[in-house]
Amino acid sequence: MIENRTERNKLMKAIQTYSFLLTDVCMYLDAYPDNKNALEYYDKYRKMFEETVSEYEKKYGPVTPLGVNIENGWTWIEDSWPWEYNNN
Amino acid sequence: MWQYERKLQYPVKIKNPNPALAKVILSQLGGPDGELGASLRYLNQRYTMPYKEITGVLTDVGTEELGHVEMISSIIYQLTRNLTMDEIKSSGFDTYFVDHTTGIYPQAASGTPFSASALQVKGDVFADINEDLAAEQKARVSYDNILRLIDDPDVCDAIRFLRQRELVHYQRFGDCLRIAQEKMDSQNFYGYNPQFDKNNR
Repeated sequence: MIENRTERNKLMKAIQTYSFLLTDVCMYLDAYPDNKNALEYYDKYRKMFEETVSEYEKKYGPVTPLGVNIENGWTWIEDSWPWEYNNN
Repeated sequence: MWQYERKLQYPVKIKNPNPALAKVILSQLGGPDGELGASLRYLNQRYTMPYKEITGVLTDVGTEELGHVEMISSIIYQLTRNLTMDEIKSSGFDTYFVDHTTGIYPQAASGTPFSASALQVKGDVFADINEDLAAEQKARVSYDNILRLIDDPDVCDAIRFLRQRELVHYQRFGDCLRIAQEKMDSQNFYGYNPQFDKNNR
């Protein structure tokens, strides 16, 4: 179970990292929409973000309310919320 | 439209509760240069922006600021968990506690409730972008002051992240100002090109 939590935290950290890179490059692209390097950077990390989110949701539960697998019931409200001390 | 993601933008994990720190950091939630005012300023300014690049920056920066509201709230929430009455009285947190217990209420460190008078939406690209540049610098100074006041490493880590983002946002608003100047009527005064009187949308 402890192993599990560590693996889960690692995946969540990866989601946070990719998501942050995307937030940063998106606002850069707003101001520099023709920058080829930024467009490729965006594309690369968007794919990694999507793959990591889908792996996390399969293993541990939803990241957004549209990531719920109803076979397990309404898991959106299960587990601790992001602001809890024991969540991070 | 927004959709919640079940994560903080950057991890907040504070080992030691400390209500005196919470009282200071509260200013970055509901104070004059706090994250709540920042998100409302940008998300409200974007409707009348004449240039798509600037509308994009305001939308995306305003959205990130909502994530910062959540991070600051999480810091305050974790700093005020499991408090004893003695800790509440001796830390000076009692003046907040009497009105809000340990709920998260947007106010300045001085106790003044959040006010929309801390932000402006002027409906003019140059007035608004210059306001935004100043706002990012003022928020950066508030974070510098918080870092001068505290030394808890868990809190400092998250505060340093937020401070860094103010610098990046300042950079993007600088881009916005340049874009607006490039697109304006070259026969007009630099930095004055009112959008209200033109039917160009």
